[in-house]
Amino acid sequence: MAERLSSRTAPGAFDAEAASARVTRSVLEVPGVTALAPGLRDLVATAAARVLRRGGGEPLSVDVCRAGDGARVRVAAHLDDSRAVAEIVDELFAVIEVDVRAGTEAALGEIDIDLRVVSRGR
Amino acid sequence: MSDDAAWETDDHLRGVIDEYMGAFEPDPAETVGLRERILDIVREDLARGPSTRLSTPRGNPFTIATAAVRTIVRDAVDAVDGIRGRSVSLTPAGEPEGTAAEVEVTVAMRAGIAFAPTAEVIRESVAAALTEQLGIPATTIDITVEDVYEAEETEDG
Repeated sequence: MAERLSSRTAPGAFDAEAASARVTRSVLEVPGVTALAPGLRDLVATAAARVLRRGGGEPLSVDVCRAGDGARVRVAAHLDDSRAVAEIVDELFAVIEVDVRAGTEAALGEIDIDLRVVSRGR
Repeated sequence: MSDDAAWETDDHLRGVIDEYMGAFEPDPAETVGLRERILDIVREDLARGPSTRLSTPRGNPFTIATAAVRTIVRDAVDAVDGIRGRSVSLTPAGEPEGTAAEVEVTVAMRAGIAFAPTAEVIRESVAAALTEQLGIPATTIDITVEDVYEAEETEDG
């Protein structure tokens, strides 16, 4: 089971929220990515808000959480057809790998990336 | 089409819900049946269409909306003179699965076109699109002609 870390993390330790912010920015800068789509965590947050009649509305972000000694990343993205899908996917894997590890001094194990292309526009 | 079971199974959803709930502490009175109600809503939200699990030549796995894959194949079919794509089916293949694909398409042909050479052109077009856009080779491309249309229909749409 993955564990979402609180924002209070020791200096140099893996900070999932900071990693999520970095990865979200980088993913949106990859040519061919037009927007993020709600990932499972966004859908769960929205559903919980509906069930509890609470406000939701957090901006969409890439979900990054600790998983064992590594990390798990979930991305749901809309693409356009300016580049090949495979090329965009490979670039996303590369930037995610770098950004998740950035700012973490401690060795981080394997990064499990769950990438979903929700649509491909013209 | 093969759906990506890992992304959308209830077990996986329950895991995400548990993960979310771990970082969130609602009033205990509100939590009765909360997970199940959230699961129901998320299941409905996920009914946004099937997806297909593939892998790039570099070995990076990804899930893509099946509709997007069909569009890539259909565009390749429609690019062939005298051919209109109808249904498209793509099944992940290869080892590991998703590194190749089996494709089945049905088409309508303009009357007077020779099928055998045109079928080869369709195969080349589809194979090129899969390789260029998705990075996967086609192991088989089966083509079924299910209709023939007159040339005038092309101009009239």
